[in-house]
Amino acid sequence: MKHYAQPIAKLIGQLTKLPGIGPKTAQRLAFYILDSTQEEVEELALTIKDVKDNINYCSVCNNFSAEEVCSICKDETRDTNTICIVENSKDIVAMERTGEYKGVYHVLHGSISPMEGRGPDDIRLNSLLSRIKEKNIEEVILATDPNVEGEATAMYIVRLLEPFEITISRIAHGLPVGGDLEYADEVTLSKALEGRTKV
Amino acid sequence: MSLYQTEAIVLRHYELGEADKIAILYTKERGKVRAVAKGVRKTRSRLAGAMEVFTHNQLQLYQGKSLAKVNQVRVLKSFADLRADLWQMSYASYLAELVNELTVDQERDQALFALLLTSLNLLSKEENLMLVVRFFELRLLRLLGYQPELKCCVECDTALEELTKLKFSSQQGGVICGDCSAKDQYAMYLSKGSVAIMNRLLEIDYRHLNRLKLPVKSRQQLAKVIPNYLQSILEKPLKTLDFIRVLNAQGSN
Repeated sequence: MKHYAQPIAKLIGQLTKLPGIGPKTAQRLAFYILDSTQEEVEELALTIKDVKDNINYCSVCNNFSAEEVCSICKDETRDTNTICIVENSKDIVAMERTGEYKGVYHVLHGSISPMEGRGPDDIRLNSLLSRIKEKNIEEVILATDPNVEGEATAMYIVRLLEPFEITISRIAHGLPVGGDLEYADEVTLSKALEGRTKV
Repeated sequence: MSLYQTEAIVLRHYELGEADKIAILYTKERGKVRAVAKGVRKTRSRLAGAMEVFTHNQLQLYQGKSLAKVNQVRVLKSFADLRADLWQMSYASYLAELVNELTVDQERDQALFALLLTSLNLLSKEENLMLVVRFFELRLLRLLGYQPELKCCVECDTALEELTKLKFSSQQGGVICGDCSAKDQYAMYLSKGSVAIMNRLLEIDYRHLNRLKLPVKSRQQLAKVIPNYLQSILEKPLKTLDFIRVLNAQGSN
């Protein structure tokens, strides 16, 4: 770093902390920022600060939101009796892209992991429970990741919600559309067979 | 640096970059190996299912300088049922964490591999889970050279039969008599019955494990004493134990 002027070295150091950014990419970004106009740089800086200052958790579903209640929870055309539980806000974006789901969400911001020692207290379950107690919820869809942590989280929530009289469903595991059966792995294929639907 | 075939059990994995994972495998041929599995976080990945924890695979690995690379994989047993129950998953995770923490990279131990595979099989059959865990812990300790002294007091060598007040000293690695236990203030109570069960677990053929009875009192004692001994060897807490403690506290069994 001694070849750089100190502020540049500091910027490169900060950029390297970002995911997927190595020293070389950081260097390129730093020099790009140096070459940009004063306005562009200020806008970037303010945007970053703005995100941190103004984004909070939605008071209903814990999604990231600029307002007290997020746009999905506010939307009156949506079915508020169905809650889809996801691990993080990025998953909502993925679900929304399908255009199929009309209910609301609940974001856990994490998953239960025995290996990492992350227990039920480390994810946002209390707000889910109070939602279910207070509102007339008919169905809860568990859309956590189909990996060990996601399964553990789903199983824990099933146990937690047992006393309530609601339908609990888990999203299906199966073959990707446009895939090739011959190249499917054994576990996925057996899950797909297990979850087959009548036509 | 070479290409080789081996059986392996996935102990755990962590994320690498955008779509890859580093899997910690316990291989039959080369002990613990860290291997990069490319693209497994993409939905279309063929490797993904096989890289889930506890999966028993036949793998083709390419050994690089420090990390290996997963080339091909065939699932021998997915142990999917271990991932379908919170308790089974927690205990299986505990076994995996123990193996991961107590072994070093690239040190072949086929007996350990066999022990892990057998114990996972027993857990997936939903035998007495606690008994399987205790069986695994004690056998693992023996394989790694940490078998606790259970025949006489670790300090004064008085035979077990002649001892009255028994305790277990994690620091000394064995049973300790009432008089000597003053030297280890952290020594924990252990009944003679529990010691007898420990001795049985060290001898028993795993196929006869379900014949063994584990009374509530011994179960509670051993669930404290053995994990405590393991953590004193490791000199750090085990994450899965914390998790199991939380589950127990919530009484969600």
